[in-house]
Amino acid sequence: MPAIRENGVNVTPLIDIVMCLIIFFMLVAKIGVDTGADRNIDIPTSILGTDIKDMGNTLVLNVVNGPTGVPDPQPIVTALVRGQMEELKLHDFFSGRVQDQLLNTLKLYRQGDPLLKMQPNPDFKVVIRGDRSLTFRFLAPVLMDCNLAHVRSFAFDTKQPQ
Amino acid sequence: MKIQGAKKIHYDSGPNMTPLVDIVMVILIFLMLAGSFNTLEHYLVSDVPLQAKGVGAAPPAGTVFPTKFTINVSVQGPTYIVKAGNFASVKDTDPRRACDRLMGQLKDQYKNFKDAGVKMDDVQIIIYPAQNVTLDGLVPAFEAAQNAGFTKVGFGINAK
Repeated sequence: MPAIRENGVNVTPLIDIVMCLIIFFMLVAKIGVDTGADRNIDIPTSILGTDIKDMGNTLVLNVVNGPTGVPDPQPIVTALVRGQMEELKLHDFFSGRVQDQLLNTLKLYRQGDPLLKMQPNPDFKVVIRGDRSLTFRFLAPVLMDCNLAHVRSFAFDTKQPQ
Repeated sequence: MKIQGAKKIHYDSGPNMTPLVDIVMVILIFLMLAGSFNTLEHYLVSDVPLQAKGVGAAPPAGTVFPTKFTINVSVQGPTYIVKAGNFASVKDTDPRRACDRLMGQLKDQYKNFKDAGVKMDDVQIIIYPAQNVTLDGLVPAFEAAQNAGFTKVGFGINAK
């Protein structure tokens, strides 16, 4: 039997390690997972805080201050609703307008809709990605809508101090 | 005439791995650059329903209420004011510094509750912020309450 002579560097360990790294990155890295979080919003800093493991059960609401000096001031709320980035107008409880897109959306996710084949989801959570300058005047109606839609849990998106 | 190929040494080391390594390296670099891990963000979670003062009817007789106290947060000019129940009141120009001081007092209160035999899972802290308080002022108060050991921290609004 002829002797087999190898030349060059043995790349087998390199390939083993690189394959492990690829599998790690594929499992851990979130590529193309869009939660609808607006990265332009400057979120507040917090030291405490936890991770939300089940982000599939959440709706991220991007909330910034709305225009002031108008008769019906309301926050600007955007969210990724069924794959589409939408602005969700709020109900103004002073004028008693019926249409409340935010409340309707939250109810849809929380209580489901047979026509849209959405099941009721009691574990549904809301993540509020609010600007650090967001005043409670504009945050309160969002919290109120969460309460009206029977959302049991909400969370503030914060960043760790540098 | 000599046949050159006949004396050539044949290096037989299996399939050529170079293209595979090239492609795998490209995939690895792509994943490292494109992947986001969101490690710099975390969440302050509240499971307490929103409380509203001045709305609703009187509760039915015999209703058992959770032990709760309020934290009022307000801003007057450059001063950040935070009051917890009737046992703590802190003023400072820096919300985080004020809430660090508040946290010490909340820890004392937590100990008082525990010493009195109160079941701590039943204790709720409701933060009532003024309309002009920003999220930057709310988050430190929320954190102070959680850091003091209270797990049920929520928000309230004055509906009137």
